[in-house]
Amino acid sequence: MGIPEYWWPYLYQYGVGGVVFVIGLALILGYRSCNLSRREDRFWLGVLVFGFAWYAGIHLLWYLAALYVLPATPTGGPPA
Amino acid sequence: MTGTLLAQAQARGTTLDYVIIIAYFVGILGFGTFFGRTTRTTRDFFFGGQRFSWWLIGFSMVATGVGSYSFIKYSQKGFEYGMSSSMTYMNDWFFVPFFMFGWLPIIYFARVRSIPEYFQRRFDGRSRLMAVIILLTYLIAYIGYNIYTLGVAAHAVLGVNLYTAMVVITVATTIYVAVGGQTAVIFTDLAQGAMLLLAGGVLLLLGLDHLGMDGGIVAGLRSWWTSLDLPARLPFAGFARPEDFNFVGIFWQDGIASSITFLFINQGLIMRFLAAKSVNDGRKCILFNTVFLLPISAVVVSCAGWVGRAMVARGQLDPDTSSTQVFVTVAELVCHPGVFGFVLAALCAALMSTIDTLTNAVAALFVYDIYQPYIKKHAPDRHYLATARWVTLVGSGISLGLGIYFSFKQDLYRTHGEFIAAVTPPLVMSVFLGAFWKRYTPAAAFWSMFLGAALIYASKFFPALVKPIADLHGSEPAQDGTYSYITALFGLLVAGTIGIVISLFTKPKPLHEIAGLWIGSIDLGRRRFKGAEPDFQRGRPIKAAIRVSPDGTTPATPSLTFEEYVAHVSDQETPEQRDRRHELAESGQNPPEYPLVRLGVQDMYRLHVKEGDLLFVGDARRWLGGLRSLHCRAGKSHAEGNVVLMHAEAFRAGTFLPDRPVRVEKFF
Repeated sequence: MGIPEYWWPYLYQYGVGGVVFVIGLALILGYRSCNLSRREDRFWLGVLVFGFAWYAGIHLLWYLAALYVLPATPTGGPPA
Repeated sequence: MTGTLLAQAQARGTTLDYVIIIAYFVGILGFGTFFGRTTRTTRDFFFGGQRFSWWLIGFSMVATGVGSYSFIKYSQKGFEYGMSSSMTYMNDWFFVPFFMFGWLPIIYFARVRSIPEYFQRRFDGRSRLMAVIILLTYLIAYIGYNIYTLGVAAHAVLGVNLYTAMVVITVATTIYVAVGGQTAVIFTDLAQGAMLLLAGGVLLLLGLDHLGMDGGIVAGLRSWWTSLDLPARLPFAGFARPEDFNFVGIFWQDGIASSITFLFINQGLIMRFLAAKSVNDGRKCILFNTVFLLPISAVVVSCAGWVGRAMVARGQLDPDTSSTQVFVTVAELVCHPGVFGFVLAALCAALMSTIDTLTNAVAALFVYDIYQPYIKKHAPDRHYLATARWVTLVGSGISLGLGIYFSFKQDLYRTHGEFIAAVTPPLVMSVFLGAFWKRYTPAAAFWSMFLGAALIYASKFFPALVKPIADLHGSEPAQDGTYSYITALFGLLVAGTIGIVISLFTKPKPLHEIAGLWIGSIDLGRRRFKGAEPDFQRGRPIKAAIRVSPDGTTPATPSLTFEEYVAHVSDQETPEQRDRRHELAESGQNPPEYPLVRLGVQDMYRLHVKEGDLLFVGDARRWLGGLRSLHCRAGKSHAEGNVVLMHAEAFRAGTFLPDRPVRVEKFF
């Protein structure tokens, strides 16, 4: 059984976006623009990872709420 | 969309609503000119003196980011598709590492004043010329279109004459931008950002209250949520369908291409980040803005559409309501007299705050990239400041003229849009590769912009070029066979490939010529910025009184900002000395002359500061956000504690107040 289609955007955003994000981290760490020997830079690296987790978490909770918090009507609102 | 709105124009609101809207215009004009009155140099005019706190910049960016038509456009999408209208506001984190530790420190420490100037220093003159032509063409026409759409919105909502609305808005914006420059823009955008968030919050609560009938907001929340079907509840649209609003296209166009554009080549936004008092404050600003304010903005601009959709499902709103009108229709339905006026004033705020930022950016591009290098090279700073003010007036006039022209000839703006869509991805890729790849060559930058734009433009006539990428993502073409959103991915790939291939066969610039301009040389940029080895040891900020003293500085270091110093000495030096000084300044090798201040020996110990370190001295009232502040350099210590000795000219430059204590922080 495949992954339901409504999950594809979430997986794509945090999969492909995650690759872009990791390339960014690799560049800034590799060139020591973010220098982990500095306390301040360690803090900001934590912030960057937190930001990614923050959005991935918000969207995940949003999905769970959409799926499980109060049943959705079969059709709602005006036709798109 | 504008045509539909024009056709539906009618007068709405009560006298009280009109009074509130007029009061808003008067208030914002006074606010901008009041806070902008301290502008004395081009550095003040374009970068607000580089002294503002992160929260001030962050809040002001809400209003800039929530631009023209955001309320109407995202309410429309929210009405048609549900909560996925928030997608474009919540996919911006992926490029933040590149910005926080790459682009921001590069431009801040290298003192890059404009994007084309970066092209000159990183690549060559022809790339700069191409960049400045593209950016000015884009900005002036974009301001014109904003003025036009704002006029359309005001006409549709209030029933006022289209051209009267356009003229009034342009004049109001131009006055405060011409007087106060970036400082006025930041402070008006702060007020406008707060208004936007407040108005959106009020509209959401009143909408839920309306939905809840007698049960109040909580019942309204339940009613709203249960009225949505599953696709309307989800945070993302369908993966590749429909063609005009699908996830994968918006991800590439907005989450990737627009995010890089926003962070890397939006001159207005770049100037806003450069107005921060430090790189760290710039980082805090992007964090605050992206993590906290953007999700709120997504709700604010979409909520009228979400509420309207639930109202239709509940039979409280006509299902035939025009989606382009849903923002105004819902606002009028749920708001009381006065509140409706406030919401409409917030709509004006969203539109004006985009125009003011871009108007200031146009002046910066003209002065730094056309007037200074090609027309009048070595004039005093006050001359460039006066020029900037004239350019603001003339540029606004041209934009207004274009706005009026667009009202007759919308095809012209469509052509302009196609031109911009073709040139933006190559421009973005050139900046991006230039900042992150030392091997990227000037020839590659020029030709990837030229050939990349040509290929992207050609894809409009030969959609088969885009088809393989579109097919890979399951994207379907529009009725005319062209692809819209997914073309952004095509553009990035084409420009990037051309740039990389040409770089491999051409000669890069020597490393010493691009020092400080790419990610591997940021430490060198920081050293140049300070003029000495940076010291990262942090101390505790101190609170002190300022004592103005002519003896507070050593004779060798004038107590002026660098631009004031330049203006001061330019009448006294020989042409050869002046040319040499400008060469050094343009190459970024000339450490600026910060005013010198002297601190007590114990205070220096507490701050971990030694002679020559950079300091930030600001009014102790932190809610001023750096309005009364100055970057300084630590001089020799003195014996007295909690006293800062400062020259009278530095005191004036920082617009400090007598008898007001200051907070001193170590910069690095």
